Order: sequence, then structure tokens, then C-alpha cells
Amino acid sequence: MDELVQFVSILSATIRLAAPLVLAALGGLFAERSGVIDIAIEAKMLAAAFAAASAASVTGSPWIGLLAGIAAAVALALIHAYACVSHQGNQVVSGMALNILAAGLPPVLATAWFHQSGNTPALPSEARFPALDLPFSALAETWLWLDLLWNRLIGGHNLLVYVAAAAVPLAAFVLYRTRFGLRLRAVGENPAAVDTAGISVVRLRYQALIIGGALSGVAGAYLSIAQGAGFTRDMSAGRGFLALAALIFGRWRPVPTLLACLLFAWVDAIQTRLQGVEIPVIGFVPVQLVSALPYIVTVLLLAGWVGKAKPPRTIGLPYGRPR
Amino acid sequence: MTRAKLPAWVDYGLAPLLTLAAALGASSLAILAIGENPWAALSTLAGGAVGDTSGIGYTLYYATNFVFAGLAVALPFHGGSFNIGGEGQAYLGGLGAALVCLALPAASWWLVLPLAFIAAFAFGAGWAFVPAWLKATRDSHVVITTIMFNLIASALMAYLLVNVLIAPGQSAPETVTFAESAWLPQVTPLLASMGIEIGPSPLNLSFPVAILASFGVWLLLWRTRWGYEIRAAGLNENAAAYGGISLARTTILSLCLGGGLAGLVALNEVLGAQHRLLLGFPGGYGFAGIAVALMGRNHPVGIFLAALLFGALYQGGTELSFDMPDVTREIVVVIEGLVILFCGALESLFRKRLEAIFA
Amino acid sequence: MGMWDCMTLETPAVAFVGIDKRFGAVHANRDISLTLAKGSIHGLIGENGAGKSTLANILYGYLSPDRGEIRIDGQPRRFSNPSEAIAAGIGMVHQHFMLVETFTVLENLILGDGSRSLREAKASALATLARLAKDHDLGVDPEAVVATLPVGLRQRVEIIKALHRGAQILILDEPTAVLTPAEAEGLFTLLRALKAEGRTVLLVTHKLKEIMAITDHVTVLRQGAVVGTVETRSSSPAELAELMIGRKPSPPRRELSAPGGAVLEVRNLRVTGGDGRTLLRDASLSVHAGEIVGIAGVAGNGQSELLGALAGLLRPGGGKVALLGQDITRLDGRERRGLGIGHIPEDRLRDGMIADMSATETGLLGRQHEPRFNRPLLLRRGFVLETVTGWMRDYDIRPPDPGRASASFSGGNQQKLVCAREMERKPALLLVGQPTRGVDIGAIEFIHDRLLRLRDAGAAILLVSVELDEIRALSDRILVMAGGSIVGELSPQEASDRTLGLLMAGMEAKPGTEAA
Repeated sequence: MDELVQFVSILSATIRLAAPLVLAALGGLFAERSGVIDIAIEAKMLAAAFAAASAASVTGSPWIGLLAGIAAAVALALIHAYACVSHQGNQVVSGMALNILAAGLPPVLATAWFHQSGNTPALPSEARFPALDLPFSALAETWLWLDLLWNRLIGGHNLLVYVAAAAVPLAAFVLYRTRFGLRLRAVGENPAAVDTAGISVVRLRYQALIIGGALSGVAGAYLSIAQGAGFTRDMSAGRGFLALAALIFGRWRPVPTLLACLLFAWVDAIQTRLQGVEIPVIGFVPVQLVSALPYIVTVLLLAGWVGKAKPPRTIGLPYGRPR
Repeated sequence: MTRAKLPAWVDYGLAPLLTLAAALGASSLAILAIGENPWAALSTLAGGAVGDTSGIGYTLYYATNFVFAGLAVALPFHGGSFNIGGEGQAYLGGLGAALVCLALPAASWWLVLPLAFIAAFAFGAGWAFVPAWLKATRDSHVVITTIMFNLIASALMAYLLVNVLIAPGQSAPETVTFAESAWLPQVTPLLASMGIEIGPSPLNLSFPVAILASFGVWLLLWRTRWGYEIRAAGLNENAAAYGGISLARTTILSLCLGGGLAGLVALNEVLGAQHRLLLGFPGGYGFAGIAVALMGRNHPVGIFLAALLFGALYQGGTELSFDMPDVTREIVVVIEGLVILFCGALESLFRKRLEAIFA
Repeated sequence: MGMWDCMTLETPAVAFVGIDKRFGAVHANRDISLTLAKGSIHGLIGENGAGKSTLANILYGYLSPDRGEIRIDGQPRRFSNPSEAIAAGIGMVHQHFMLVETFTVLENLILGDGSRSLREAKASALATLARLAKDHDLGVDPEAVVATLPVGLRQRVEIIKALHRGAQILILDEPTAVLTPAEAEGLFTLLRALKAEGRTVLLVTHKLKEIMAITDHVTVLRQGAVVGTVETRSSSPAELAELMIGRKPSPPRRELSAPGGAVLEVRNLRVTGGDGRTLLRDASLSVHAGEIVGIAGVAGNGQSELLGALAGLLRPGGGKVALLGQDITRLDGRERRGLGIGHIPEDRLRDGMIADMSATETGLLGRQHEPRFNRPLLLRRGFVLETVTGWMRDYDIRPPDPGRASASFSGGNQQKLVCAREMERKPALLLVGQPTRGVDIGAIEFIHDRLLRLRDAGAAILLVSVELDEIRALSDRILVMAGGSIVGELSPQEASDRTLGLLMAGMEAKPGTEAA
């Protein structure tokens, strides 16, 4: 029975850790499907985490925090769009600029606003998104299996986890069943075909980047006002890049991307449990090395030993008519 | 896309200065948001950087790191790879240098220093090799893999410094101080022995090494066949393959040389200033190298000038955080990000206007 | 004004009035005025770079003119976007197809459809497809993914797309470049039918034959300006050619070759694509010293793979390649160059030069290993510069400035630079792909002359071109490729358009390629 509880608790942690990855990766999916490399997911998450924590801390409302997070991430997305879509700048360079900017700005502002070096004040529970109890949770408690399933695995998460879960089918619907999705998929493959069909490439890409920014914003807010209780320096810890890797590994499709995110999250969930545990043959693996596990998995996945992905055909290439 | 040719002084002088001005303007907004006077902040910054000989010494000391870190980005950039891994490569370079110094505590300087130099370069290059090899053979996204290698490097070094290399009886995660024979001579005592008195600073002999490295990179890229092949591969992969150039080789060569140059940051930091290996010693120099390289237009001369400027920003930023406690040193990181944005991504914004005037 | 009235008294479908367009230093269109009569096929002809495509793209709203006006049915219109031109009844089939290759035909058709729901858009596109299949024999599977369609069918999709959007005025930019002669004939039949329905067609081409075959009127452009608009019936190819280039074209020099021993021998060479498709199927051929062997065929029938496999850029899936009796099958590109293979690639901008480097550095490409250009450690830059300066003089490359960026030379001068680099190696075997694509007539004549001279000096030359006239004018023997195989061999005298066309279409395939 202990093992079952342990197992469910790992799965439950996997879901919680996957939620921000899923949101961020879906955001990246919209951007990249439109043909714009989204290496700044990390920046958007970090900025959103800070903005959400700051706003929630000042107003005491997680909802205002969430909105502030989305606004911050969308603002960065708009800078990216202005540089790369309007001015046809280098998308990777612009993304790295935002990553560095977003690493520097929160500590500066946190110090000035809250007089705490790089952090925001710890949030009281009413300023965060609490874990939700599903209906009939008390009833389910009576039987262990049902309790684990209903209250620990499916229930017991905060609202944003369910938002992330809903975002996957929604993204798939938008991408494959709507006119906007059709155009979005087309513009990443052949922007000239979209342009000569009389549709504005610039507008489509701005829309895609704004959607991407909003989703990354929710992911960032998740870190600081749902999972955590406040912003800490560099709290995204490379998750934006993991999301990007999951997106690539998921071949720019919503459902495979979700599965890749779950894989990363699972690695993350077991690594906290591996710390200090003796593993047969290998023995004790030091904490620091175990914490590098998700990054090592990312490198292995990107090396394509598990399959090779084909990106949208014109990704990274700025588009403009000859002038 | 072809671009009109601008006069060299515009291309390498005016354009970078304009972008710098734009970046400073934007960061002034950040300072305003904090509630400080941007003009006062910027003049404190400038005063701290070049106000006295000690300030200048510190500026040059930081600039040394930026030269190495900038070259580490620029050289692979010419080969078509965006090396974001300078941070981790520098970290590993420090490990290489430290291992030599710790292994040979009694050896004299002419043995330790060259070996430490080679080890720093080799460890940096080695850390770049895996992402380079994965890009060359598996077409892995080098930006993501080098970032992952930064994260893996910091995990690895944290483990080594906490569990293995930590000085006995110490609680801080750092090695013992090296024997003095492994210290790179600093400039202040050197000049004092010649009767010239300047303020104290950690500026050391790795500064001339950085100048030599810049010259070496220039020579390699623009005067040798290997450099020609690297640049050709970076500009047009198809044409390079047509011309009998092995893309795998130019990719691995340029990234590993870049990693080696990043490793040399350890020369300045570990051998020249700290004389021991500290947790997190690269402190963002690797990332700053991206800004330096972009601002210097990936040319060694430009990188040297941009490195001086960033050295001044760093030194000035430190002074600033003393004078205005509400302004942290990270303001320099903000300026860095803005410089990359304006020099790298929004380049055409300025260029189009300059071309209208000068070309 | 007089010029327009002479054509027809009816309001013209399209009138260009004083159209002017510059791209930086290039003056692409100079004060162009012309009219298209309603229900006619109007040809727009000119050399590469004469400004034809620019003008067509201005009519389509893809480019905006610096000055001038466009009138549709007499009404002045300003199109700042293709959507406005489409709404005004204009459709365009671009030279490079504007299709999303990962999409189905149906998805491509509804891409621009903005007025209805996706479901309605699909229904309406299916209705158009059914109508066009019935009326014009334009059948195509709506669920087929475009990437799997042959080029001829993709063009059909482009035409259907334009008609589905209600085009009354149809622009076609070099539509026959990707077609076999028979397919081109089919296209012309369609265009005549569309004309009979009252539609107006603007046919942009550089091929005189097409102009003569199908147009009612023709406008000749030279260096961005109109040099004449004539009724096709009352004109002749010779007159149009002279208008196009501003002088009489020089007749091609043709002397018999005196082939020597075999230089290149290829046996059963096979190339497989990444998706497992066979791109080159058991090709066997030989090229002798002092001989030009031409490879005719529609683009995309294995010629590029043949050149790539011979140059050592593609790893063959089987077969044998020998140069001067030595087996070179396992050698890479660099080693093959070292043994005396020169290569003028099909796409110079993609493969043959480095646009952002100077002409000098482009001149070194592929020759950077040669000992003459190297000291032990450093390149002999002075000598490289001197050599390229010499080429610029001998090949009349203008402007003769070796420090200039390669991209800033005109197409003809870029191609002459690549030719100089590859020919001056004195190769035993020269592989040549599309040597005159996107090149002006002066440079075409020059390059043809140099190829013949190199042949007379004893080099073996394998020439791949989609221009049948070029193949006929230069080759001593002609091989035809279709579907990845060599399907026949002809002498230049036997190679009529019809014979070639049948072979290129894969019909009447002669099994025996070349006897061993």
C-alpha cells in the first residue's frame, strides 16, 4: 500500500510539474508554428512570475497577479514581434536579448520595490491559487483507491493545472479545426503563399506571438502564485528551455508535446525523490547531479536518438516582400 | 539579403554608439521606474569606471573577461553556430586550471602557468565539444544544448566544490588558495616595482593575453584557409559543401575553439584574481559575451572596444550599487539585454536610417 | 496615348500608365505604359532582369509602384495588397508556386477564403474543382497532399486557385519552365479556352516560341522599359529577338568535335532520397575527352541528383563512377576536385558562391586547398586577388572590382565568375548545371563560347539544362532523363522538340541507354 501511495504521489507531482511546461510549450507552439523561433519562453515565464508575484503581493488577489503576469509576458512577446516580424531581426538573438533582460530586470525591480534582494515577499495563501477540492471528495475519501484517484491524482490541484489540461485540446482545436489555425500552419510553412492569398503575414505572426506570450504568462504566474508563494531569483530554472525542447520533441503538435512535457515533469518528480536514495549498482547519487537529470534528458532527446523532428519549413526566416 | 556598404567609421563606430545610446536610454527608464535619477546614476557609473587609476584597473580587469567571452561567441558565430554556452565553458575552464594548480602545488611558475593555461582552454573546449558534436552529427539545436550544458556545468561544479574539491575544514564551497607560483602577476605590484604607483585592482597579465587572443582570432578567421572555411560554412552551408568543406569539421572546430576561449576567462578570474576556485565564479560573463560579440559586430577589434565598454559598465555598476542601494548590480544585466536587443535584433532599425544618410 | 488606341476601341481590361519602380540602385520598371485588351492573351517578353516579373507583381498588388497608375476596366485602382487585386478579379500563377506543400489541395484552395465558415469554404472549393474538372479537364484529387504531386499538377492547382478566387484577369509568370513540351501544349489549350470565356491573360515569358504560339499581342521590355508593343501575327521571332536584346543575336558557332578517350564512365549509378524514394535509377553513361554530352529533361527528373552524385556531394546508393579509368565512387567532393573535376552548379546563389563574401573569396571557393593559394599556415591572399583580377579581365566581369560583395554583381557576371573559377582549373571533366539560368543574352553567348572552347581544348563536359535550345546548340550527344532514369540517347540532329518531348514525358522510353 505504501508503494501505491508513493506511486500516486509521484504521478500527482508529475502533473503539477508538467502544468507550467505544458502551458509554456503550447505558447511556443503557436509562435513556432507561425514561423517565429521562440527561444524566449524562459524570459516570458520569468517576467510573468515576477509580475504576478508583485501584483498579487500588492493587491492580495491572485487574479490580478495572473493578469499582470500575462501582461508582462505579452509585452515581451510584442518586443520580440516588433524586432523579428516588423523589423525582420534575428529571432534567436532577439530571444536571447529578452532572456538576459528578463534575468536582470526582476532583481533590480524587486530590490527597489520590496527591498528584498531579488525576491518578492512571501505571499499569504489568499493571494495564491489554492488547491481545489473536487465535488464528492469527502465521499471518495472512504475508499483508498478512490481517494487516491479522485482526491490526489485528478483532484487536489490548483486551478491553473486544469487550465493547462484544458489548453491542450483547445490548442489542437484552434490549430486543426479553425480558419485561424489553417492560416497559422500555412504561414510557418510558406509565408509567401499566405501573403499572395491576400492574408497579412505580419498580423498572423503578431497574433501567434501574443497568444504564445499569454500562455507563457500563465505558465510564469503558475510558478510564483500557484506552485510557489512568491518570486525568487531565477525561479524558472531553465523550464522555458525544457518547454521548448518538449515542443521540438513533440514535433510541434499539441498532444505529443503534452506527452513530452509529462516525461520531463516525471523526470523532475523522481529526481527530488532520488536525492539521498541509494540506487542499486550506482550507489548514492549526489543531490547536485540528480538535479541535472532533466537537462541531461533534454540533451539526449534533442540529439534525436528518440526520433527526428521536422520543424515548420520557414521557421527562423524573416519574411518580407522585396523592396 | 545584401546590405549597402557603410563607411567603416559608421559601421564600427557610429552604429554601435547609437545602439548603446538607445540601450542606455531604455535602461534610464528602468532607473526612473525605481525612482532614482537616471542622469545621476549614469554619471556615478561613469565616474566609478574611469574616475581613478583603481577604477580603470578594475574596468580593464572586467574587460579581460569580456574579451574572452566575446570571442567565444564570435568565433562560432562566424561558423554558423550561436554559442550560448560560454558560462559553462568558462566554469569548466576554471576547473581545468584549478586541477593543475592543485595537483602541482610545489612546481614553479613556468611549469604551472602554461599547464594551467592549456588545461583551462582544453576543459572549455571539451565542454563545448559535446554540443558541437551533437550539432555536427545529429543536427541538435545548439542554442538549447549549450544552455543545457551551462545548467549541467553548474550542477557538476556544485557537486565537485561541495563534495570533492572543498578546502578541508571549510564551510564555503571553494578550493584552497593556490601556491603563489600559480598566481598570474597583477599589474599594480608590477608597476610599483618599476616605480609607478597606481590604485589597487586585480588587473593582471591575462589582459595582454586577451589582446593576443583577439589578434589570433583575427588571424585565424581572415588569413588562414581554416578561417576561410569556417566563415564560408557559416555564411552558406550549401556552397561550403559544394566547395569541399566539411560542415561537421568547421562546426566542431569553431565551437571548440570558442569553448576554449571561454575557458580562458578562468585565466583572469581564477589564476589572476581569486587564486582559488569559487562556486559560481563565471558570474554571468559568458552571457555578457553575447552582448559584447554582437556589439562588436563579431570582429576582434569591435569586441575589444565593446569589452572595454562593458568592463566600464560592470565596474561602474558596482560603484553605483554602493552609492544608490536601491540600484542593484543587475542593472548592468538589463543594459546587456538591451544592447543585444538593439545591436543584434533591431539592427536594421538603425541601419536603414544610417544607410539612407551615408550609403 | 496613341499607342493604346490602335489596339482596340473597347475599354482595355488592364491599363498600366507610367509605372515606375526601383529596388535600391536597380531601376526595375521605367515609366511603363501598356494595355491589355479584354478577352485577349497578351505576352510580356524580355531578357532576365528586364522587369517583367516586377510589372506582373505590381498588377497583382504584391509590389507597389513608386509612381504610375493601374486601371482596371478603365477605373484607376491602387492595390496595396494582393487581397485588393484578388477582389478586383486578378489572379496570378507565380513562377515559384505559392503553395503550402504540407497541405492538401483543398486546404490550399481555401487558404485565402475569408468570407465563410471553413465548412462552407470547403464546399465551395469542391464545387469549383468539380466544375473545372468538367469544363476544362482540370481534374485533381482534393485530398492529395501537394508535396506528393508532380510539378505539372502543382501548377494546375495554382491555376485552379486563381480561378476559384474568381480571376477574370490571369497572370502567368514563366509557366512553362517546369513543363514538358506536351504539358505546355495542354496549358496553351486551357489558356485559349479561358480566353474564349472572355478572360484576359497576361503571359510573362522569355521564350519567343510561346509568344508566337499563343499570344494576340506582345510587349517587349528591355532594361525595365517598354521597347515596343506589337500584334503577334504581324511580327516575327527575329524581330522580337532583336527588340529584346537591342541587336541581332550572334549565330551559334558549331563545329564538329573530335572526341578522344573516355574521361568519365558511370555504371548503374543510383541515388535514394531521404524518404526512400529512388531519385536516380541505374544511370549509365560515359563522357569522352573533347565532347559535350547534354542531359535534357524537365527539372526534377534526376538531373540534379546525377550532378550531385558525380561531384561527390551526394552519396550514391549503388553503382560505379570512374574518372580516367580510376574508380572514384568512394571519394568525396574535395578528393574528386583534386583529381580534376570542375563543377558549375545549377543554382549559383545556393551552391556556387557566397553572396556575402567578396568576389575574391567566392573565387577561392572549392579551390582553397590548392597549394598555389596557400603558404604553410596562411593563405596567399595577394596571389588570390591577382588571380581573380585576371579572371575578371579575361571573362569581362563587370564591374571589375574583386573586393565587391559577390551578391552585388548581376546574374550574368556572377555566373561568369563561377565559370572562370571552374574553367580555369583546366578540369579533365567539367560538370555543368543550367549554365545560363537567369543570365542576360550577352553572358549566355559568352558562356556558350567558353564551353565550346574548353571542349575543343580536350575537356570532357557533361551539360545539364532544361533549355532544349541550349542542349541542342552545344551537345555532341544528347541523353534524355525522365523519372530518374536515362530514357534515351539522340544526336543533336535527331533531337526535334517532338522527339525530345516524348522522351521527356517518359513515353516511348528506349530501354537501351548507352551501350557499354
